[in-house]
Amino acid sequence: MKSKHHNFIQRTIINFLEFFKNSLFFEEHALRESFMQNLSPHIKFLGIFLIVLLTILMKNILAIAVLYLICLLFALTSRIEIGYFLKRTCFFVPIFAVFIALPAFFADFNFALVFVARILTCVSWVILLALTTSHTKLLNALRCLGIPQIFVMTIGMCYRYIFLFAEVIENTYFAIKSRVGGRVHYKHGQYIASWNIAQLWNKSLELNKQVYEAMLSRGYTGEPKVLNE
Amino acid sequence: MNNPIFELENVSFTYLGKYPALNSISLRFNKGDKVALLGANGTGKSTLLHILDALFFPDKGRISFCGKDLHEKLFDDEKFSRGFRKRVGLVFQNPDVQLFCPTVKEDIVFGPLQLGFAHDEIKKRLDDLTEVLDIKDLLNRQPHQLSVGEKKKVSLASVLIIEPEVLLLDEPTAGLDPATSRHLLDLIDEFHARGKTVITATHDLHIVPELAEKIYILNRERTVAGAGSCEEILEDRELLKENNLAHIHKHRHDGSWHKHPHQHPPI
Repeated sequence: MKSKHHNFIQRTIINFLEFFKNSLFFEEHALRESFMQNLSPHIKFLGIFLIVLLTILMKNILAIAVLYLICLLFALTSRIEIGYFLKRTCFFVPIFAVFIALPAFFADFNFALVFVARILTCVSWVILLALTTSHTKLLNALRCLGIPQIFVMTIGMCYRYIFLFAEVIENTYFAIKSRVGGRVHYKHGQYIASWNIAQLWNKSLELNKQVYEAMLSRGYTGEPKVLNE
Repeated sequence: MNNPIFELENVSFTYLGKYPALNSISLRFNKGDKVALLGANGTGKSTLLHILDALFFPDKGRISFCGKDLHEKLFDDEKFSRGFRKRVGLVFQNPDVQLFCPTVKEDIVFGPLQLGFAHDEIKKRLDDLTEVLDIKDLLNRQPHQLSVGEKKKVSLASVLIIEPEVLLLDEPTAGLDPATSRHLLDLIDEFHARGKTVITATHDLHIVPELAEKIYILNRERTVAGAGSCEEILEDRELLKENNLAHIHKHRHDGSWHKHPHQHPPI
């Protein structure tokens, strides 16, 4: 029983990190030749931005459902397996929806339903955009659409270092596991987890400082410049 | 010989005002020098490189670059700051620090773009450099997809594309396989052969004869414990041993273990 419980925690952490990395970093679907992939990143970005805006303003659940079904249809025509797509959507939706909407379910069920439907639809469209566009093309599209370069660079750097920290978390977990061996008392487990969260925070601050030094060293003065191609 | 690039006089530096990193260091680097800063871990080598690259400034003492005293306010002058960054380049020990852009290509061209190089010139240098470093096929990759050796090469490219007069290297071969180390050492040697100054911080005695004609040893007191030509320093076994730099080899002879110091004959 103990072993099963321990394996469950291990699987949860490792699967979470794997899933997170797969969702954000692998561009397998973006490289496929299909409907959404062949559209210009600028058009895709603008179109999906408008759909998200429309969804936020809608109050009719049926209309929101239609937009959601169109999204699923687009995913299918873009050669994205529907199970894969739904899994990725369901991973992110609770993060945005459940904790905010949970109290509302008891007060106003209809409002909460529309709220969750809006989030599900918006997240699905954004994931469709992310899956069918390589992130470098997406960043270029943002640049071309006049988003200030400093924001685009910050998004690019976040993306770059989230992966690095996901690896740090994974390696830290294995390092603890290799030394702990058996099951840890929950109080000690809480101590290890909180200590590692603090360590990760310190590491991110240190990395932040060093990256800024590396930027200064190559002439950065606060206004990033990019190559026009 | 009498053409100093950097001069340091009694330079001291502390982190957060209480953790000493350098203690009254006096050094001089001339144009075209090939110098190694040799020291065990925690002796202030990386801090010294940061001071030479004007990322840190001394708490005490003075540092000058081509006869001009360096202090923080001087870098508020954009013209001076750009001029300095064009002339001095630092390759960090950890390539993940240096590769912060979404693609390898953007990382390599980041420096010249910020320093105002013409776009045609940047494209030409990018073509030439990626050919020499054999990293053309990496240009559209994301830095997190690269191996350590590839990351090191890209880090080096991101500085070499600026064509600085002074190249500062922090542990350039740490964690690399022998073939990649060889390639990097050859590139650094070619860079020096073009009349450039190379200052390398390392504790790896194997690469020192190739990377340095002159050596400064930093010790646990974070000061200069010794200086001399590569031959003089590498033959001074006592000095190396005192500063945790002597390699002690252990191997089997006729069924019993045997220990002896490893020598590094200068080339």
